[in-house]
Amino acid sequence: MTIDVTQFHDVFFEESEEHLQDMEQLLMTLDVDSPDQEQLNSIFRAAHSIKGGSGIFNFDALMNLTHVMENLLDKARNQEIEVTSDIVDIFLQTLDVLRDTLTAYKESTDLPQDEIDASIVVLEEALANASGKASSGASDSAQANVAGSEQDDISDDIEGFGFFDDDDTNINTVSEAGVDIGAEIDAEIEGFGFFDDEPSTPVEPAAKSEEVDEGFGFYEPENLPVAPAANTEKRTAPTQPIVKPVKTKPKAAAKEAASIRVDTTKIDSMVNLVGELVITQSMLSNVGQEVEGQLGERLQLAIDELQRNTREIQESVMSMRMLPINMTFNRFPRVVRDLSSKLGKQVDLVIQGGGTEIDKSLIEKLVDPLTHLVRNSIDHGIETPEKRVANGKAEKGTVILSAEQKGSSIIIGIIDDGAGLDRARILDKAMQNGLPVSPDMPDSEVWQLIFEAGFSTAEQVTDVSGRGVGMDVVRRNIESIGGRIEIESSKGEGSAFYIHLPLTLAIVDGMCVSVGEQIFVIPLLNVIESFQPTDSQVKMLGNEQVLWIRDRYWPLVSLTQLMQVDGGVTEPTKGIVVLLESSKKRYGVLVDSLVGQQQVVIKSLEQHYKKVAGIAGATIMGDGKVAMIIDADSVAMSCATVSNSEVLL
Amino acid sequence: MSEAALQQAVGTSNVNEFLSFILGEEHYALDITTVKEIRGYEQVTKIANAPAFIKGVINLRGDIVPIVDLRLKFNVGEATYNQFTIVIMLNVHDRIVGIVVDGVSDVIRLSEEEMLPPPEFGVSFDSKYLHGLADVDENMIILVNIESLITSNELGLVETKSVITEDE
Repeated sequence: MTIDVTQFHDVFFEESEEHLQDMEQLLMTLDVDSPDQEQLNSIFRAAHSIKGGSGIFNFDALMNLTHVMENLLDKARNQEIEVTSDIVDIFLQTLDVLRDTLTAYKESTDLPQDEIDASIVVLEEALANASGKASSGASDSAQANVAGSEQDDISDDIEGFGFFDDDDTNINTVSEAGVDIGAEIDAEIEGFGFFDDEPSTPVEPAAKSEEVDEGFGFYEPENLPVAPAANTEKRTAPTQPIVKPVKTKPKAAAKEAASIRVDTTKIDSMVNLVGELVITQSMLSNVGQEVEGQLGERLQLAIDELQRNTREIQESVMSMRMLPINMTFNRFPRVVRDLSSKLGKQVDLVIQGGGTEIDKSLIEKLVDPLTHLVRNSIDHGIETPEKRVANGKAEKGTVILSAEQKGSSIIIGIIDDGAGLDRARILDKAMQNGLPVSPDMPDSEVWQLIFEAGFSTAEQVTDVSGRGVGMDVVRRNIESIGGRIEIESSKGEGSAFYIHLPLTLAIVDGMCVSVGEQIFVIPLLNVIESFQPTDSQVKMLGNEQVLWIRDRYWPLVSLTQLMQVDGGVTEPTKGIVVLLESSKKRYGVLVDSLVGQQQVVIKSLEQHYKKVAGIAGATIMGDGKVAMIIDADSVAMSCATVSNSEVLL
Repeated sequence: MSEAALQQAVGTSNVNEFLSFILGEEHYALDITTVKEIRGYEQVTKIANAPAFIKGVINLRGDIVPIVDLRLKFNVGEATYNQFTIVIMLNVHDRIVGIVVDGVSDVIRLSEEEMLPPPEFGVSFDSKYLHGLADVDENMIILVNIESLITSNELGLVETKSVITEDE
């Protein structure tokens, strides 16, 4: 009997993806001047795990590639070779190929065999040239090549792999990674960084470790600052005398020990059950209020206890779904590095508040919009070094990726110190596209124009900005997860995109309002204020009622009309107006009265019915009744036909 | 025991069970495997812009479930709501829908032979939503294909490309 191993494939794929991600992160943070031993070990372990798994499942291509990679990593961690930024580059390229290969196995599509072979060749060459000893049969053959001094061929080959576009980008790659190798770079590129210019330097197969210090062949002797001296004492001392503060301990290992892998659907069903529990608990406390006397008091005490416990359960269950936003942010150092070198720009990425926790489902959905915004910042925002210097700025631009929690929402910022948005050009373009604009629109409204479909001020479509994902898609993605996006920008100083997101999709802080017999919940995220309007604040504009408050006119939506509820207040002065802010516009809704503020569990209407305009979902109130949750954006759309935008005087 | 009797006893393929219910004057029946439960009518929460026969939604143990009044949809009987009003909760294609009827009468077992082809006219249901007819105790029972009715554009319960409801 054979055991069907395919059932474990998914686990392997998932784990390998995590390993690849870990490796990428570690490589990105690896300090080439003084590589952290623990980091190198972690990278090695990750590669080793992938190799082991792929061997079990007969994923030969994956195994062969990781095997060679592992050999090189082993040398690196044993300090037999020096980790240069070129080596890091090779590893990063290999990771990309590994990822493609993994995907190919996962989706049972054709393996990227050419790239795999190419990667293996590159790795083996690096291995052969970096090390005095042949560590495997595979590298033997590669070494034979080197011994034959076919350097030109090799570097031709390597150029053919497209790893380096030209000298300029390579310089950027390297300096962007925080390594200042300066003048050596040009020399290195010719020999792919591993060879000396002299043909005599290639290491002889018999080279012993004592010879390694001279024979590494990484640099010409003149350029060797510290490496040879350090390398003589390999295995006994760190490569560099400059000791950096001890880095944080092996995260991967600690994580494995302290966590178990749980299917997200299990957590989701738990979240649902806890939602039910919250409802049941509030039903109980409704009933409890009717019980009188001593029994009532005792019941009330018990219910209070239950309430506390329920809240704690709810919090801890919700926290199971919460992950640090670094899960998303961590991919950006690589994005920024690749992109900035491609565009010949110098960009520093600063990540702030990566520990901020956010719902897992949001993390996944944030990747695309964030990638787009970050790419935009680098492509359109940050200027070229020459231009920056000419404008009296530092050569290197900065992109800040930040996250912070404010109340029940998370604010994610993508801030650059680039050129800023060009008001005149946006207005021009909007005019061309036939959008309703006027030259004296406030900035905030002008910026929102870039989210219109088909709107791009980029003069030419590059492969960076012309990926088919427009800003309108970014906004739609953000809105689909209940968020909104704001822009601040000043010309010449930079721009900032702020994404406001709810903490979680499952529970919303809501303002409960009554209309006729029905209760509606308005997400607190959208509420600005509520008040009872006076006669003088209500004006008629054509046939429509508008409100004059806060020095501007606000369109007024009557919830009783919009939601077709009988018996609601229709006179604004007799009801309450709640001022709302959506990503599209600000407006007021007229309701009968305010009931209270509470957290509600969002239930899908679509599961058993269908989407309803103006409604984001439903929830179950303490009495077991269903209340609708207002979707401020979609209500804004329905009042768009009434009055196109806020009227400004 | 004969083959037929055995089949009869274990209720295999040839015999289907139906839940019969009353709408106005007519007797209907639907496949009992789609029935989740039967409960009394309770207060619903209205949905904006829904046709009149969609009464609203209720909370069925945490699920938000729409309630359809077939009496309003097919213009039969009186759409009154009291403690005797019955809602049949159906589970069709993983969706839960409640239908309001005048009453639930019986569970009937019908073999394939007992099911007659549906008439072209004469019942409130379009024949495309019918399985056929059956004669039980001198009563004509209309067998409703509840799955096709619930998922039809006509009821507009399920999101389709363009849902056109006939409610004007």
